[in-house]
Amino acid sequence: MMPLLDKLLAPLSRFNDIVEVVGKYLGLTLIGAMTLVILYQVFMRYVLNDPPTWSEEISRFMMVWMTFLVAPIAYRRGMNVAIETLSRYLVGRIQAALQLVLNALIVYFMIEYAAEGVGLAERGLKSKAFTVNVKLFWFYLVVPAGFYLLAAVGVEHILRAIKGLVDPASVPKLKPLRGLGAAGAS
Amino acid sequence: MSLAFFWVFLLLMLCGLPVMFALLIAPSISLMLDGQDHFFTLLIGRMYKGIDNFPLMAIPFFILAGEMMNAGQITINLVRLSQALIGHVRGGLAQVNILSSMLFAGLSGSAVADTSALGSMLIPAMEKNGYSRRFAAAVTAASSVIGPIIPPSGIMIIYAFIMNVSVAGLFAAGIVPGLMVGLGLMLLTSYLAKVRNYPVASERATWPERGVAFRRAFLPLLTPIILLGGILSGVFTPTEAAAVAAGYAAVLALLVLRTLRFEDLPTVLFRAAVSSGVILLLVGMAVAFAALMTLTQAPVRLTDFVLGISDNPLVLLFLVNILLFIVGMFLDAGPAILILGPVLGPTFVGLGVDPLHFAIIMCVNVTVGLATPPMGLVLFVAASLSGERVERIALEMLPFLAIEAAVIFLITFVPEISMTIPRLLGFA
Repeated sequence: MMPLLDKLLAPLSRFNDIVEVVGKYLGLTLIGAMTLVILYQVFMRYVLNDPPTWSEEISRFMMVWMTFLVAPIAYRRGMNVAIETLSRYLVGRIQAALQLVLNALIVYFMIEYAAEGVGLAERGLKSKAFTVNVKLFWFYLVVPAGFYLLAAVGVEHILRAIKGLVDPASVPKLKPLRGLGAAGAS
Repeated sequence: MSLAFFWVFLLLMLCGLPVMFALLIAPSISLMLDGQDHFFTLLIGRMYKGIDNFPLMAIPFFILAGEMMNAGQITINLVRLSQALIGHVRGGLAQVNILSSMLFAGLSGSAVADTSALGSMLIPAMEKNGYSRRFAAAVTAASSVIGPIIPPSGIMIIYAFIMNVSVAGLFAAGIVPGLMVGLGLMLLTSYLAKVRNYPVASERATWPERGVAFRRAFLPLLTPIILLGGILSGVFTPTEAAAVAAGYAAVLALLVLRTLRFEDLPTVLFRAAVSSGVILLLVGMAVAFAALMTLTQAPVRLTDFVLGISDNPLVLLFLVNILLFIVGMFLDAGPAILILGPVLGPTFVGLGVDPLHFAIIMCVNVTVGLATPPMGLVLFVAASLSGERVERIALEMLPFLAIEAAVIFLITFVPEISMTIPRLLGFA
């Protein structure tokens, strides 16, 4: 059982590692670019009195993409807000079983939502953005992509949970990224 | 559609499913049980619209500004200024800690950023100066909640967004309550300092020394003036002001103070991107959740239920504060507002409570909740910085929490405290 699990887990884990790296660099570029776009808008409006028409729409586009691109990182590293008051008292196999059920639920619904996201993107093929000559498809595309990537992370969590069920000592935990999380806004 | 999804939601959250997933999955399960999964299209559409929103962009910008200021150690100058001003009194460093929190609150909108920036510096310093470690951690955590009460405030932006009240008005309403919390904590600390004979931090600074400290803190302290001046006068939208704050912090840290190196910039940006992404996705899911709640007419039913308890707004405000305080013990401030704001807000506005007044009550209450056990982000950060156990810090913090609870009730029953400035500025 274990060798089979490892065989499945290794490539998936590698895939998610790559998703993390790509998400990281795109995400940090997008938040930087967003800031520059709005600073440009402020400069043009208050100094030159000639505000650009496209800046708000483009920066919103960047924000949505950033949000969905970093989502798999947050889910993989356990950085989403959760009430762990009760569940942290569970240990070993019971904890692994709970994680298995919760993550299976997540994976099922992420795939459902991804399908809805595909529908959203397809509808976007028919219309264009207001201020730039780009199909809304490109705005919406990140929704299905993000949900599929979240599902991939969920499957990795499931495989790890199954390993934990077989042998609670066998699962090395994914390290949380230090000091990161939803805390930023609070 | 039935209200069953509410119980599914509670169950999933108590099992430890991340709030963000629970917000979308609970109503989905309920829709599937009712054979109405065609509503999924609506859910995802609403979620997208919930994130794709310009006013909401203030959140990533404020987070980025906070990360820049922390990485650029801009806080140090504020702490030095506080020390020059009040370091010589008994319990000096504890007072410096609180005053620095109040100054920093005008730059940053996050209690957690406040705790980690000030705590990493002041907890070790206080320990060296002769305070107990748990008292040092408790003062840091208790005073950090001032961060999101004095504007700017990430929590208030979230509330303003989901409930459609004015960000500027809410910011204006937070000024006096924030100062009250700060002064209350300082009074309590000066009493404790006398009883427990806490040390003074330094000799009384001379006025020239204070001048030097003020000059060093001057550029960082311009941030709240640009920010609040711009937002309250209506020159900037909050989003633009937040972008300017982020840009200003970057220029200060990278070019003027040179406390941040260019090669560290990607790390700062990445931390801001992840923190922002987590909260923005949560906001999107909460918008979808709220759309379904409206479909089930849950707010109407809740209003009926609440009116069954009492129809006196004062009694109900008292009860809602107790409810929010309990929720705050288990839930982070952002999610608490995203889940409960759309449910509770309309009920109380219907009872004749001013939307802005209810907003400030709720924001201050759940912000204090960041420092209450068992689940308090600020408490966790203080614990990990000090190496002291959460329970011991929480126990030490009880008198401070009592002050904060007293302020919550004061602003609840004396609306003039929070509402005077917004009224003068024309927001209410």
